[in-house]
Amino acid sequence: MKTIWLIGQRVAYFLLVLFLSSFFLAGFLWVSPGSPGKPRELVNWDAAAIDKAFVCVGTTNATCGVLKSMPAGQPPRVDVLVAGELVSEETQFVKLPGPTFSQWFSVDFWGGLFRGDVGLSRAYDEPALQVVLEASRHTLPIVFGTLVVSVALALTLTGVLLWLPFPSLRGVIRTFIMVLSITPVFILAYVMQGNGVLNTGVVTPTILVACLAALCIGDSNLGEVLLQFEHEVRALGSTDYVHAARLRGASVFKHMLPGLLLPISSISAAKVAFLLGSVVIVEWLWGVPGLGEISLVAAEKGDALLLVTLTLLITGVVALVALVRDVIEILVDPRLRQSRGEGH
Amino acid sequence: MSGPSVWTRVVGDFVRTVLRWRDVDYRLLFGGAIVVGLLLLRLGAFGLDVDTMEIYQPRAATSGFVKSVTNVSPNCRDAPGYLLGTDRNGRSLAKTLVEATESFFDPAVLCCAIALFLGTLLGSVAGYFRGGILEESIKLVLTVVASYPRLVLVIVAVGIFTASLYDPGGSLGLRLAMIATFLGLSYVPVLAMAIYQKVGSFQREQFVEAARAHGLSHGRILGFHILWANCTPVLARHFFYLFGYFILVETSLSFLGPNYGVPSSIPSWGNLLAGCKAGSLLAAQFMAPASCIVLSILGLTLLGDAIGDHFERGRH
Repeated sequence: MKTIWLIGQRVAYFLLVLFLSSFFLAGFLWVSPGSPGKPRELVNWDAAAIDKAFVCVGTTNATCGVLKSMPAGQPPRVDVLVAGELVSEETQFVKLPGPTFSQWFSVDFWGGLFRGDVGLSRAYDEPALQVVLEASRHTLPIVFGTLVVSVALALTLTGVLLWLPFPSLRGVIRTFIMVLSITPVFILAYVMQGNGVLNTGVVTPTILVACLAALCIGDSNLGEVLLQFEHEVRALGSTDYVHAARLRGASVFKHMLPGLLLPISSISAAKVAFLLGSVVIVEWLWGVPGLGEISLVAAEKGDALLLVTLTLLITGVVALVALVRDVIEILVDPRLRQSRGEGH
Repeated sequence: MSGPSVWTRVVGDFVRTVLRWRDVDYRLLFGGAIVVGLLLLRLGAFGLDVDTMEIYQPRAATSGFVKSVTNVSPNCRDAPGYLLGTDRNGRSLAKTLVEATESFFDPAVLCCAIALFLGTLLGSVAGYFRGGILEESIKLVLTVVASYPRLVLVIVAVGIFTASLYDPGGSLGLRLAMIATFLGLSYVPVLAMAIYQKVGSFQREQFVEAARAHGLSHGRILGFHILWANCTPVLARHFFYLFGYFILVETSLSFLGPNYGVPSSIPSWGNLLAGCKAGSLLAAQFMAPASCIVLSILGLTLLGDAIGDHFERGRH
């Protein structure tokens, strides 16, 4: 019961973080030059056609503009109708007031999220939620695949380094991995492009493997994970219960595994946010239509709605991984459970 | 029996001195050299102006081999008389590499200043005044900020502002300042949590208890006795990490394109790399900027690690 209560607390915290992260970002976008709250031009001339209502606001067509043709030599006239009544024949200076922040954030955005439709993306002219979900199908496998490969590789390398009987050789290998790993992702990707892994406009398995390899090694990813694992394994290896297991001839690996779950989950949680940033570069270089690429397009075109939606998804993934880490922590470590339980 | 001769003692001292170098931390030496090198490059950049740099133009010729050379773009090639050849604009690559330090050095200092100020403030307040709503609120804000991927946050912030500018290429200073500000803000949680843990670990130390017993104010205990006297190595370590990270982000954004980083008309190590796509990977046009980036980040990271290992451990 106490465990469920603790997990419930973490879930509530996760939801709070998710809400606040979207709130802060929405607030930032609200004060930015491309604010969604700015008054809009009534006339969308791209969509205008004679005798056709081209701007209608509200679900009941409360405000509409209708373009009227005029005799030759005179410019076309625009009739503005509010609830069916003609209120103006000139829209040159008429602007529709934008929504208030609370209306945009709570009703349009969060309400839209629950309805499954937050609105149209200006950059893609498609539903923003659909664009983001479609893009995440490319990005999330790359990120989580990279995470799994990095952890597996780092654990293997840790085993090799601990097994090696020559300390100086260990140092050389560690330094080599560190130097290789500190290379920025874009340089690694550039080198791979120089070796024939080019952007073909299609997401092929080769390109996915190249993305994964660049992310796995570059930007200090592998080096940091390796150093942290080595430190953790050494610390665990010197604990009394592992010594005792070793002396009794029991499996050391089996005894160390539960103790390794916590650092693995902590390191993974910290790395996810980092990888979701680095993935932007490889996606752009190899033309993978993922979250990274749409974030670049959305930022370039000032599409606030798409930016908030995709950032909410990204922060949601980061917070979700942190939640999983917390739950593993609560489940694996009984001392933590006890101390947290006593606090409440 | 007389003692060892003077020469024996001199040789012995020399050997001992050489052997003592084995104990030197090479990370400190290498990192220090990189920092000095970056400083010198930045100072050298004061005397350079990208607009007045000579542009390489191959001799006009009418026939033979020279004609075939003139038909090729003069960009990114091994021009005679130019150290390391030229960049894609036909300027000396060596000079543009020096000039490119302007693109990251000053903004990186600004970025570090923002992160150090806010991170220290929030981390120390949360760590010193524990167990209250203030601590929980600060930790919640830090968790929220930490949930944004740094690079995405910078791209979103810079992109959305530059999209609204009439001439995005003309406001390079503003863009670099924005990159610095947002990267600094996104690094605040990392530094604040490190300071939070450090300050928390000093809470029950005898010198803090003694300072409280002497009636010193919270500000003096926190600011001088804890932060200044004991947390400076943490700040130095994070300063070098963040400086290296800023170089990584700036070069990555400049590599991505002129909408996010430094435009191609102004040199940056990132866009120098992106500008010479046709060249071989072993050519100076690729190796020089790539080596500058990797060595700088490596040196700064190793220096941060070494400072952490030498000055932080054993303090508490």
